[in-house]
Amino acid sequence: MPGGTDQTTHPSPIALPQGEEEPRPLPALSTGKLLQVRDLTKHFPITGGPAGIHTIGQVRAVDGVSFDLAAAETLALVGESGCGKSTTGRMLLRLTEPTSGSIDFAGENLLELGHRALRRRRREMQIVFQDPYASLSPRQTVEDIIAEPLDVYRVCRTRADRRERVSELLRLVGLEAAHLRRYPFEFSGGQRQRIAIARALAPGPRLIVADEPVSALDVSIRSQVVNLLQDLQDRFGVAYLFISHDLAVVRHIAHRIAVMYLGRLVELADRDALFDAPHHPYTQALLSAVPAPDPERKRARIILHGDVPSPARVPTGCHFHPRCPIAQPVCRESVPSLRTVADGRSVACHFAAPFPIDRYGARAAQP
Amino acid sequence: MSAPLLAVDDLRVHLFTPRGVVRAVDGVGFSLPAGASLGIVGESGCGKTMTALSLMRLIPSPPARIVSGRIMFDGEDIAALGEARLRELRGDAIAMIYQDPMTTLNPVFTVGEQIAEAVRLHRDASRAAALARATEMLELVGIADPARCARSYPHQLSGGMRQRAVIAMALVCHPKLLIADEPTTALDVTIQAQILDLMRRLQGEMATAIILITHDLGVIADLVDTVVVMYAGKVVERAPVRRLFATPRHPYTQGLLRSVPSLDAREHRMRTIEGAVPSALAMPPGCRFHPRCALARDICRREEPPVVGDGAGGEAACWALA
Repeated sequence: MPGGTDQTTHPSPIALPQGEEEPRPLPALSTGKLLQVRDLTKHFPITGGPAGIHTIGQVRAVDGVSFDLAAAETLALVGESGCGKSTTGRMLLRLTEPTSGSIDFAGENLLELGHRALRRRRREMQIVFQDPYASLSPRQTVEDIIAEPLDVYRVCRTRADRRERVSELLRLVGLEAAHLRRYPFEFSGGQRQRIAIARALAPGPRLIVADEPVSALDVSIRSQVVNLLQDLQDRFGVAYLFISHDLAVVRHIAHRIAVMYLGRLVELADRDALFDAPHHPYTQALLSAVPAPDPERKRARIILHGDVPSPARVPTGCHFHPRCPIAQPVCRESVPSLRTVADGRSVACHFAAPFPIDRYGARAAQP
Repeated sequence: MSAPLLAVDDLRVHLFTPRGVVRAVDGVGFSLPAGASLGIVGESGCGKTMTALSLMRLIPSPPARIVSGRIMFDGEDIAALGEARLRELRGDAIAMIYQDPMTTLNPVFTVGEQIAEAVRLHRDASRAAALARATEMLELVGIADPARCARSYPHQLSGGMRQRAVIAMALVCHPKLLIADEPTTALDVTIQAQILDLMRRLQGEMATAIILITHDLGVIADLVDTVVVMYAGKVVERAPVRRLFATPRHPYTQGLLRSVPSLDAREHRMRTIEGAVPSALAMPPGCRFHPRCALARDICRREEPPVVGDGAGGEAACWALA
């Protein structure tokens, strides 16, 4: 087969124009769920004491996060620095080992896999990092960068086949085959991110964790890369865990959105449901804090006081209660569980009735 | 109208590099009345930071040099001043806030000492009086326990607190002009909202003129009266903020505004500006935006576009408007 054969049973990643292979079919899962994450937790030890070898505390980076992701779906994970969104993304690929919890990927608990089995599975899970200046080796040509996953999984039998595949990947991400022999420094930030995307796409993943993939890019380039990610999803049915702090981009690309605060999910909802009627007070504040590119709309802001507490000293009860405008005594004492309140919307708040808010404006006056 | 506080005229800053001359700022002009606010917006490499640094003559030299132009500030041409006079102005009449508060603050001095330094330098105050003034400033910028903050070292503060401290430092001598270069870019969105709120309040209270440099059109819309849009070292459009957002005239401004996704609505595809910013060493002839412009004609490829006024205080540099 000119399209290259696998050592494994994976479908081919890319439908080559002259190849005999089918375009990669959508994953046929009985449940429809590609990924099921349950109670995922990561506590980093803080060492100290006289010799610096005793654990004197825990940074609770991720604290019991659960969500599902279907094939060809985009779930956005949003939140501010230190909320644990990147740690969550890295744990899905076991780039960071979870403390506890389970990650079911295509029916297999990733946390129980041995080294070899994990390596095989990782072919289906790839990652794109934020900074394309740091994630591409300056000493490798574009061809070698993109072919690395192909080499790891021995996808190509001949050099010509390898080159053909890399050229096709370059075309897919909007670059030219003429770029094969160049080095990363010859490309702009947006082009580099395209190279990183081509590399992630090379082994034919079903899931790509995209950790702030457009945050380092300029406005006019950012939208080009977002469109590319959407096109690739339409074509190959890849699912994205899209980690971002940019709510406007998230509104555009995500099907569902999970909001994190200090290691926990506070709200999880369909895109429009979340933006039209955020239920959690933190989600409301977060949405209202985004400056609108429209001077006519001086919308009332919910300005949160204080800073996000350190994950090494998390507040009791609801993590958000010290900054929450509607906190009650119960919020200090008991942890609100993430409960389903309506069609597909889950909220972790003791008072998560839909508060009367005007569109992105302030909450209507409380009685 | 009396003379503006700041009038920049035909400013050109070139970088003399081994690979050639980069015209980082190429004929930029704008003016700012006392107490007003101006935003400079553009993408990486458009020359907005170079412009800002020139206003305080802080450009890295070599390789950069102001090759022509005037920067009239309060009756003096900053472009022609000697170093001694510049030192008097910096931190007193003109102050600057940078993107990353951690690199602005010195890690081995307390926050209070650093704020007091400006007072002692420019106001000839005693150490104790300067420290007291610093503490007052910290309170003004909304720090809950200013005395404790003044005794703290920068690493003991959060990012938002550090940026508040930097703002306190910049404003302690009541500058007439505050230059803020991406003041909220390194901050989280809820902290950004706090800082923007603070800057708006202080501008009102202290009647300081502000030049805000940012790539974030949302921040621009929030804070300034007038906007200057830069592309590849040139001003492509200048207009009052409402006019600019309501009816952008230059094709680049139009593309830029369309590229910003809205929180309120969702389109199937994001709008883009095709192509990329040209290399600083190989600027296209004629209008620098023409390779990416849908309206480009022959003349755009040959000759620099004229600056066309809109009769309402704005102007744009485009052949399509001529």
